[in-house]
Amino acid sequence: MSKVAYYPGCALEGSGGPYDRSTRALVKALDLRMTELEDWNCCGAMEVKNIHPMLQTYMSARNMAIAAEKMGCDTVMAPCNGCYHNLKKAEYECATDAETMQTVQDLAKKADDPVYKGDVRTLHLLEWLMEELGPEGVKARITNSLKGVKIANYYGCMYTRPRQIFPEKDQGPGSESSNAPHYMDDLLAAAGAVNVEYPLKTACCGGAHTLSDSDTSTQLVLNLLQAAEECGADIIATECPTCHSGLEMHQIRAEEAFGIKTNVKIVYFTQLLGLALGLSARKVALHENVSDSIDFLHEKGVI
Amino acid sequence: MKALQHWLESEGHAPKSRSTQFDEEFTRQCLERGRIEDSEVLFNFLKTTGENVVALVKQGWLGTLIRRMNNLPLLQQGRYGAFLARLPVTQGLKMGLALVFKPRTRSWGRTGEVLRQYVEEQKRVAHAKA
Repeated sequence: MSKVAYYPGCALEGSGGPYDRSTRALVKALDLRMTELEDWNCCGAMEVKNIHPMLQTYMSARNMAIAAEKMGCDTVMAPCNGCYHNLKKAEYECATDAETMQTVQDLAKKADDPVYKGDVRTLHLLEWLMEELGPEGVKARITNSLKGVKIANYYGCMYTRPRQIFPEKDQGPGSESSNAPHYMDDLLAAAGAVNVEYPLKTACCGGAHTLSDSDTSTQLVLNLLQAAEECGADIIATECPTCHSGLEMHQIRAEEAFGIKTNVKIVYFTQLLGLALGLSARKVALHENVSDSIDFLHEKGVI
Repeated sequence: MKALQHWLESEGHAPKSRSTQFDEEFTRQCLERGRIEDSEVLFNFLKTTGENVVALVKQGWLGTLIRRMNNLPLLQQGRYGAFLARLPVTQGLKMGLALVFKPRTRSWGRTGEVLRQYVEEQKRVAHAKA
């Protein structure tokens, strides 16, 4: 078993709090072990690379160096797509470009930071759950089926793109697909949900421009919400705090600014899995979501 | 296109886009403390771009978002028990405290300054080449 450092990142420390709390509760309920990455820093999200790309690479590599050097971990687990993407990108760039690795190491020495040596891998929470338990392992622990609730699984664009930074994807049976990701589908199906065919599972939600170009983001989110409803979904399951907040915020903005109302609920997959494992709605912080799904899940007999 | 836009902005040939203003606020917090604080990014961005935050909270989507985040529609429906049971106490406390005690990477030390110097140096080199 890998020694796993949990990297929550800034979003889970802030507006993505319900994702953080449901992740911790879920991991505990599944008897898995992780330790929070010591004194982590922001990965740079989608913004700092626009000031200079090396900022993002360095900040991400610094987190991996902390995991290896200070904690003796060989794996960093990130539930946020932005963090996951950035750490994977730093991993790829340092592994494939000697000059980048040299710059990262020089900066670390200059700043008196831990030095990244390329000896840590990054996993998304979905990948870790699949690696440690898989759908069968999860199924064996289900005590409260999701009772056929219809779900559109939304992975967002950063979980699979750009293709080259995820060499472990598309490696045949059992591996994740960059074209049609299915890990969240597999886990939620094991928990008793019915996954709808959702063609926009890797479409962008406009997360990076959610405030700077709100109209574009609202349009992109509306596409996601309306498509999910047309596919018959009751819930959009998310696995990224930026996507989740964007969906919640622009669902409201579409209603307020453009008079377009959608009813599909937005819930973190960790909250759904937690409920299926018998955890309470409060334990998985369902009441802290902006999108109110409690009445619906109560009607369905899930809570 | 994006690179050209960045170059035009950095050379002062084009005004900073809203997206650049957002990136700069986000990066400022990262370099200063090693971490960002959601609400601070949002409110500083709205302030920089001159948006009326009070109007957005009073009449716009931001107000609706905050009301729903705190489950206020339940109060309007007279569902007092549900309102109390679903009050997002932990989240509210955490976000409120983060506004006062900004998230910070304790070991950040000289890192922000080293990165700032690196970026300045790279821009100087790029400018000299051009």
